[in-house]
Amino acid sequence: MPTLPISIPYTFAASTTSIPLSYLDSNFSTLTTALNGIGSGTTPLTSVTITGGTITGVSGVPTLDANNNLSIAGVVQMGSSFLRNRIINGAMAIDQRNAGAAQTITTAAAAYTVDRWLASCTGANVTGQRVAGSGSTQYRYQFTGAASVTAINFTQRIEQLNSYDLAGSTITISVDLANSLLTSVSWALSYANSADTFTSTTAISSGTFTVSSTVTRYNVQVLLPAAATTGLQLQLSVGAQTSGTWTIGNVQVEAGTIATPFERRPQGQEFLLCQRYYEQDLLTNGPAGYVAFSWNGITTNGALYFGTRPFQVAKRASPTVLILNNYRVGFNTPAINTTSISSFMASAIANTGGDSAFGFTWSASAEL
Amino acid sequence: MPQYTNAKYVSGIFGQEPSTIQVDINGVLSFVPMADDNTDYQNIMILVAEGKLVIAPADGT
Repeated sequence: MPTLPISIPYTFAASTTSIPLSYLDSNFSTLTTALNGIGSGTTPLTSVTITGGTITGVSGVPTLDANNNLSIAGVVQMGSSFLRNRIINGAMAIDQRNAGAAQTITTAAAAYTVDRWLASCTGANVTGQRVAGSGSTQYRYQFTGAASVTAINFTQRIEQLNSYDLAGSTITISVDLANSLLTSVSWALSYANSADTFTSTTAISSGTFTVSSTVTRYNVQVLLPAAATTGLQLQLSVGAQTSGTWTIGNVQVEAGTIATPFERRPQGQEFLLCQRYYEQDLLTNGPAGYVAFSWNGITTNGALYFGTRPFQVAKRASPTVLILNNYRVGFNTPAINTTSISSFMASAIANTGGDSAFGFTWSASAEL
Repeated sequence: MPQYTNAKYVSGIFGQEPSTIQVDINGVLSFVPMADDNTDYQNIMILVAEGKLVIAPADGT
């Protein structure tokens, strides 16, 4: 089949000798073959510009109007899904632990910050905080550097159930970044060595984004190995952030090779996704009245009293329950005796007898 | 890894075998289920294996 542009075999203009009519047939044959090829699709059209008018009488072709509104009669079948961002709280909006307050990240231990994001640092402590974004982005997360800091890491672990299908395929990582001091932000992708256990990981790929003090969106494509079925870890890092700020926002990990716009899920939906990993109840009733979990009644000295509390959202795994503050009248310090993905049971031993009460505020973490 | 200190087992309320470990995590009173898919339990088991943490028996045992 010919390819475009079509080249006519013979020319007649300025001819000084007789030309066989078969040449004319050959020219027509070339044109006919090419036109039929366009009609049947065997002659490829590499670039078509249509100015004005409409395409009609053609099935299976979506329409695009003058305002770039796309219409299609059938359904859209994508290589990925509409709920395509595998990162939870990529917009940094959910901040159950700190509610927007600043948090000191210490060199002694990694700590969760805004929901699902784990921070650590070396050299010296740093401060992290959800901050106001710009434009259509309401929030971002920001670290403030300090003297002697040698590195800051900002990590999200994606559980096996939310990443298993990506193994053996190419994914795209997108992120908003800015840094008022440093010009590079490193990224590293790895997978857990056993399902959802990130105490040891295997590196997949890593690289560096060259950044500036202006928030800019970056993306990178990564081919995941077939073995990456056990959960993914995305880590963003900077080096010696000895002053200035490092800003991160709108993080997205999605199937495929195209960095699509950041996917904004409804706040309620995003909150529920976060609560699969972390939940807290800080209800108090007056000074020291920590009653998020509470028990009240007439007790016998030395007897054990207990109650259960369901979680708002079932957890990924049986969570660790923290007693944040407790309130006791006639009771020893309460304890959590047993925990499941859907509830916990707490108890306390009465130490006086009579009208008694205990209560506490709590958090439950099933983070990876 | 967070800091784990003052670990001890917690008995069930009816005296069953412990299914929870009481431990201070970064200084906060915490209760870790003895579940293999709990990250804190995984960390505690590593520390125990390395001899860096000892879990005391439950009260009354």
